[in-house]
Amino acid sequence: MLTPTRGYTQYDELIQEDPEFGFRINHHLYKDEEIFQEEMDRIFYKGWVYIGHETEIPNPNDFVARVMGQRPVILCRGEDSKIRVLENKCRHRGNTVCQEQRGNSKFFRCAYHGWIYSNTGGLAEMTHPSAYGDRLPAEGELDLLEAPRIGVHRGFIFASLAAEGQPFEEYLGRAADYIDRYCDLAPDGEIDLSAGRHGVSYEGNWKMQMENLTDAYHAEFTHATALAAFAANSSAGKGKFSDRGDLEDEISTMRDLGGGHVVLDGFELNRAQGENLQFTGSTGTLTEEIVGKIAEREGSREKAVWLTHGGGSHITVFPNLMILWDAVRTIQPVSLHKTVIYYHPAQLKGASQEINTTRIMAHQAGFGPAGFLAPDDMEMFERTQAGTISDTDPWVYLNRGLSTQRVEKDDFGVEAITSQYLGETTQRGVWRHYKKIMSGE
Amino acid sequence: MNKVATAESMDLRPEIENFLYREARLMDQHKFEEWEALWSDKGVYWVPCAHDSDPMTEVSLIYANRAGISLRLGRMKSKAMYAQDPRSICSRVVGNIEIYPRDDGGVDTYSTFNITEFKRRANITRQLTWSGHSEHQLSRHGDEWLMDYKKVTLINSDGEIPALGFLV
Repeated sequence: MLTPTRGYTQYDELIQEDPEFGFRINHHLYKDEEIFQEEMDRIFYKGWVYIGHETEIPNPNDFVARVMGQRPVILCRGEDSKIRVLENKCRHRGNTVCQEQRGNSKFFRCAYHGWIYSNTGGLAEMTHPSAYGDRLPAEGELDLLEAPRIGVHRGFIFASLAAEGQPFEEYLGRAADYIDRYCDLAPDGEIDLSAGRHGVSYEGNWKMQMENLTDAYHAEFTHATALAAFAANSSAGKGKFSDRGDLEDEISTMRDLGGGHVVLDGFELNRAQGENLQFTGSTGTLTEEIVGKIAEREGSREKAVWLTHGGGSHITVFPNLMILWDAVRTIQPVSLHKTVIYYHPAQLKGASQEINTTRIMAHQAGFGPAGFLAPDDMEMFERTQAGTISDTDPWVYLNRGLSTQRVEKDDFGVEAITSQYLGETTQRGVWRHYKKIMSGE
Repeated sequence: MNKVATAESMDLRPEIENFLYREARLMDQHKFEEWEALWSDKGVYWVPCAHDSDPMTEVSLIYANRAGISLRLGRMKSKAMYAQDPRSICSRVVGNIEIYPRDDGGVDTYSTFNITEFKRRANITRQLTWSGHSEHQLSRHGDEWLMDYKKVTLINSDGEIPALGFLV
């Protein structure tokens, strides 16, 4: 492994908490190339990252090409049905061995010198091995490198390129409750991500999307036109923030779950809206079809109504998984100044095609490169990145809700740092964890 | 596609070509109301994501019926659609136009396009190129042709693409 040419950045100088000024981050975190490389190393190569979903590779020999940090990998289900993450790199000269984005194949063949690997990672055929003479590599020595650790929760597949470190369950922590609740909105208790994906790129740092998903504050402004359009077309399902009265008196929704995982928890707020569910609803889940099927599953109509009327939260799972409304989203850092967001519509297993089509339509009305919401977010990220050139005051203060936030029990009866939804509790939660990871703690 | 050009399609060519060029100019000029007037009540506007996809079971970039087209244009007319504030300056070139008359008096067309987009924001300027293939289904209403269906397949639609805030 290449030794860094200098010591790691001092992150406690860039992310600071103090009674005098509150909480602040330095915008060099968005524009320093060495910091980006340190993030790749400490967050994306040593830590756990979300890599894909079981429903994207349902059958033996299915694969999808993914990128972990900046490294090309193959997420595949071997002919033995086991899920693996293989580095997409021939062990001979280092060529990528899988060029397609998805498919079904028992083998990955390097076109350069014809080496063939099985989808369980093993080197199945080395062409003309005799030329190695007595230096022929031993059996298994030149297999594709494999992520040593895989963790799966409700179909969500995470991987770590480090052999040792924080156990998966501990990493996922309290995010698991919220992922579970989202999946529970499907009649079969599982979501299906096989309806394709959108890929939207922006010229800005990846952490801008990480901070944004639980930033309720921007919605009323950045998304004014989208929210007006959705309100005018109630079938699109989402309401207007500005119709919600005195926001300062709102039911608390912003929670820091620890471990960098944060949510806009709309359960209680949603239930208070009854059939007019607007905020964090999930399309189709209030239909009799879904409520009825969930009632059957749970053996309780009351429980089904409670679940579906709570909806799904806005969930950010550190560092790269997000769930909002009708889709699962991932953050793909490309370089310091370039990021791709992938959006996968989440179909409900056990629901009719009619309902899942409604979900796909509702998702694409908002998101993807031509949706009503996403382009305006990308525009804001690019403007933020553009602003970081001005170093006169490099500090970004995240003090909203700092003096009023409190520890409160959430829908699962577990205590979490909580504030009303126009705070910055979730941003602070992400940055505190980031600082811990980047400081090597 | 085994369709062949006929004498009838040759007769229609000048006016159909002009329709497609005019549509491109209205999009270049962000003339949303005039562009909307090119749609018939049946209008379906589809921009797939995957190239061979079913819009009912797979995600698209845009799939809008006539009401959805109006909703989209309503947002685009606003100064508060920030992804287009200020608006992109675009130049479209439409070419390779094939025209096939249908038995019902309408025509199907295939064409290709290139869009050069220039964006300026504060201290950033950017110039991008977009291209793809269009399929139009047009029908005659009195003296004018209207779009019943328009499918636009961007060459990179299933790749990673920047925000697409203008009409294609």
